[in-house]
Amino acid sequence: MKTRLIALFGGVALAGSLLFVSAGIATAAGPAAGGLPGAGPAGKDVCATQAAAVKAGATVDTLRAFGDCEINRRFTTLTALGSRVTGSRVLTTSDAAALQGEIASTTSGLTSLKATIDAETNMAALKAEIVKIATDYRVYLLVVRQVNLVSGADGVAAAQARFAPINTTLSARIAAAKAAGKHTTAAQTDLDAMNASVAAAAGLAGPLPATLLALTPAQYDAGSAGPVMDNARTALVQARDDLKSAIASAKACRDALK
Amino acid sequence: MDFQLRSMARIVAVTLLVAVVAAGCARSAGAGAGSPAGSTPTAQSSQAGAAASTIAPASTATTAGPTLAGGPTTAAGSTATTDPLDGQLSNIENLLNGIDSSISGGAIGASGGE
Repeated sequence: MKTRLIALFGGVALAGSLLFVSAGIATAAGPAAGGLPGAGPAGKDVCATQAAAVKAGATVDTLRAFGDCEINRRFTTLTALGSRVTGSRVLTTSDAAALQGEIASTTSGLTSLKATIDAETNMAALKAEIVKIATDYRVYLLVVRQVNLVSGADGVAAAQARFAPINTTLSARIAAAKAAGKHTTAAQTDLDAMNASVAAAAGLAGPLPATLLALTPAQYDAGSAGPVMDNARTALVQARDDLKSAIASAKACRDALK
Repeated sequence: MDFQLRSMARIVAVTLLVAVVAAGCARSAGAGAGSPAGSTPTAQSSQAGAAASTIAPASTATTAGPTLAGGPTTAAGSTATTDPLDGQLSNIENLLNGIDSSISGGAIGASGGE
């Protein structure tokens, strides 16, 4: 009787073990089973046919057709700019609002001008109205550049914000390496260089949006807005280069700690 | 009779020992082949502990499995292969591409004239 009991216990234990093994395999196997829009429609060449017609013989109709075409391609550009501003992930809320306001006012002004051109019958007056398409709104020489440069400047600010956690991470790694008795001088130098580059970039780009958004077509026509935008672009190029240096310094810091 | 009892007791003891060892080996091998479970010391010690402590019912072992295969093991594995700094720096490089586009004038109005 005793022998049978022991044999039975042994059998149950063996069966249980096999069950456990099967379950383990099943469990282990389980998880394994388980930009920018194109500008083509708004380019200068869009109105080449209408321009050629004016050159061949300027009439009210040819001038009006040319004016309408020039305004329509600006509408296309302004719509694309609006989409870019709306879809931007770097523009601040206030800068985006300012740019949208400028786009809206430019669109509104050109709409009124188009109505004036369409109603004008005097050739001299019509020519003067057509000139205003460029001089009163400066869509390509001012508005487009404002959107681009302000976006770039805000992009620098966005990049600056993203360097903050990198600084935190690298600082912690340097502290840990130092606590472990490693040499961290080179890494600290790289981290300092990274932060200096980021600060320089931010310093260059920070003032740009306010400066750029204040520019007007009248200032451009007077000759003062162009140099401001040129200087802004130069600053943005330098800021971009500073950010590239910052990235290189961050990588050097990380590598120095390996 | 005593001899028989002792023999049977030895057989049972050896059977249990073999079963426990086999269970441990099978779970480790299975995890290595099919899932990240068992790739870390934590998971392995947990499995060894489970195997050594008792012959667990099937349902218990199954329930414990996903826990081992889930959270920390996977996280530890990815940490070992990728540095989070890479992703952060890559994001900034993407921003730089946008800044480059802004500097160059982008596609909008690039040949728009006045």
